[in-house]
Amino acid sequence: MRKHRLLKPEYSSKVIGVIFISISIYLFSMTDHTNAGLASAFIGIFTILIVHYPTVDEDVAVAGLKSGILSYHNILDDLELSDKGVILPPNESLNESRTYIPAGKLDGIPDIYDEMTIISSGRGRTGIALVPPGQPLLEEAKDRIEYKIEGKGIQSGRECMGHLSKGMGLAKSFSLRKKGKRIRIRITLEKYDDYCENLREKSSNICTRSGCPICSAFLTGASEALSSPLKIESFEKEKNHIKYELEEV
Amino acid sequence: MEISQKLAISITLWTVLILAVIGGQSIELFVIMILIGLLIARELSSVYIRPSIAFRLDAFIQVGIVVFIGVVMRRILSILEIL
Repeated sequence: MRKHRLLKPEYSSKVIGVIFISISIYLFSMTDHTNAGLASAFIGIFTILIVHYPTVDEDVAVAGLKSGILSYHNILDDLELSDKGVILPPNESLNESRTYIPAGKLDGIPDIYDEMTIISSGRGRTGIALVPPGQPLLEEAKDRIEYKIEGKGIQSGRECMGHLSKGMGLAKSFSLRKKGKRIRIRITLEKYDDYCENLREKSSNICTRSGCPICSAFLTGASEALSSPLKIESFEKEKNHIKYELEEV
Repeated sequence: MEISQKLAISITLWTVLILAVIGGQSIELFVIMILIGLLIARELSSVYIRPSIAFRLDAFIQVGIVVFIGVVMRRILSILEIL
């Protein structure tokens, strides 16, 4: 859910500041409460000037994230590939994770090697394998963990996601649950919710194919921790809560 | 919540607390207590805040120091019975 402009901190702080300054003017002119007036004026000016507003650096970072993923998905749209991707963890033939997007219905995962992008292993096993858009973000989070998460299980996946959410500020909170072959990931966005909504307006299939860089980092982290290919089964977004249902294949 | 929002809330609470304790008694003490709050906030948040916020916080502190010097000068002059 996109926040109304006036609800954003940079605007709401100014409204609060103006209210405090108005109160201070009233206190100075109509009453003898000099200290209260001074306090109110100080709080008003402080709130207006100190509350954060997005910097050029942040805007550029968001624009960078957006432009990269949109060109990625424009290619996938033009190729008319399936709407549902599979996140592949590294294995004996693959040195780093891949997002495999089948051309049609998924009929088993073909053998994929590092140097392969376009996969053609016969009927039902055709598609493309790309580096997940969230791979650089995931690498940053993994650098903060003292051990390799690959194949270490759900707990290491949660630890890695903790670095993505709280450490890097990509999400407010998350949950990762596994029940049999079904994996459920919930991500609650905070400051990147507008970024998510803008992206979804421009490319509707983005979430089920690979996810944006933020979701893709979480999905790839889960796949690497469980050391298992994860097929995106469903995606839901309600307000700023994202829910992914995945299946081990 | 952004660190700057936390900063604004904590300074507001500090100011309200001082106002509740001092009330309308001494404007000089009130201003000095706000300055102390700003200095504590600056020191505690120095690692986390962006340079732009630090610059603005420093501007508040500089104004507070100028006021503090004024208060001290006024007090000295009154002790010396010049004012």
